[in-house]
Amino acid sequence: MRKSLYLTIPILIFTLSFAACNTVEVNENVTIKLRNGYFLCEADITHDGTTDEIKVDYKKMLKDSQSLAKITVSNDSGVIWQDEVGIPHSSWGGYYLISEENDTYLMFYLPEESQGQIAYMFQLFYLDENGVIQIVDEAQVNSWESDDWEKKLTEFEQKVSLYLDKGELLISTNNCETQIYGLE
Amino acid sequence: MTSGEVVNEYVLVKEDGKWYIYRISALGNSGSRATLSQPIETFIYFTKSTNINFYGSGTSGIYWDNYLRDVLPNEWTISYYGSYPHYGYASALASKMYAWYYTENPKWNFAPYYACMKDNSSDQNYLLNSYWNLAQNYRTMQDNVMSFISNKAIVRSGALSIFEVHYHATSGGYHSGTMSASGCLSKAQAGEMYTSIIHYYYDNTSYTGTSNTAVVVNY
Repeated sequence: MRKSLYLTIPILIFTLSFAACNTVEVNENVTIKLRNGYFLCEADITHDGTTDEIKVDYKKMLKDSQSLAKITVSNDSGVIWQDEVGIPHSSWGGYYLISEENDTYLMFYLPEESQGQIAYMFQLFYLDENGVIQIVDEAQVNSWESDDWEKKLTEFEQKVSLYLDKGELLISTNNCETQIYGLE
Repeated sequence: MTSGEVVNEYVLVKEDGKWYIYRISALGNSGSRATLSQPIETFIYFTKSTNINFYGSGTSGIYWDNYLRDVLPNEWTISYYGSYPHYGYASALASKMYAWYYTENPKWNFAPYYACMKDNSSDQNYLLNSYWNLAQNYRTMQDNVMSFISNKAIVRSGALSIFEVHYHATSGGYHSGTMSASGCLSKAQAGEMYTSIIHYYYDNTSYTGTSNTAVVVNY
């Protein structure tokens, strides 16, 4: 009995300290908890005054390039929204958490350059209580659609950089390169 | 197994046990046999270390089937091929025709490349042995798709000649000449056939000519 107590207490202390040191307070509205193969963000993405949980699960993707990373948003009623990004070109994508004034948003951002074409797009949004996307801002520049796409791209990049300055990268797989919060 | 029956201006097509109604103009020349010869090999300029370590730096010829086999896992989500085969057919045909067009019209035919395509996102991501690095179940899914498209090509109606096709992860739209991968998946999930998906993105564009549809032919 005493022997098991000797073992239990250090393990408990280690576990608690590990959890504590892997919790990052990004700002007063956003906390990120790093775990093995996934991380959890606590933020009010539904703008209802309560904290929601964003889970970014990338464990399978790092083991198998055909498996996709899953991004889910949950509130008290369970998972209300989800999306996937992956390493194959068809599933490239990037999610960022953007804090603006006292509100927090998700941003999908994909600056895609492939096959000699430019296809940049972003969508800044929050979710309603049912998980339906409420778009706050968005833009898209496709080089094949207009002759003045370079001018539009400059405006696009200026706009996006303002958001990115207020944001945290959660995950990106653009151009087959994975960038994940908390991983080098 | 596909069978078709013309009903006035519409054709009833049975595929995978389901019946679909298509306008004849939308179906184009699907099913007709055309005189096309697919390339035997293509010439790729290498930028990826895995490829350079095997082929050496610079440009090298790759057998056509091997090229496509090792491109698809890097460009498309093979894990969807089992559940949504029409996503597989449309996507694999898009990759095939991109490569076919630039093999016949080399994109990098100047120093220092002298190549049809590069092995990176400038064209299509080719990585040696990508196919063999897939799990067995994914290889089977890709094999089934490769087998289905092996004698098929997307051509412009009328001349039945190949043309430039593009695709991107999320961008692309109706008659734009650029297929959206996410849109292709959504359409397949909604039950659309691969020919319908191809018509949606590739009909009546600057690549096909604005009065030409994009049709799938056997060769």
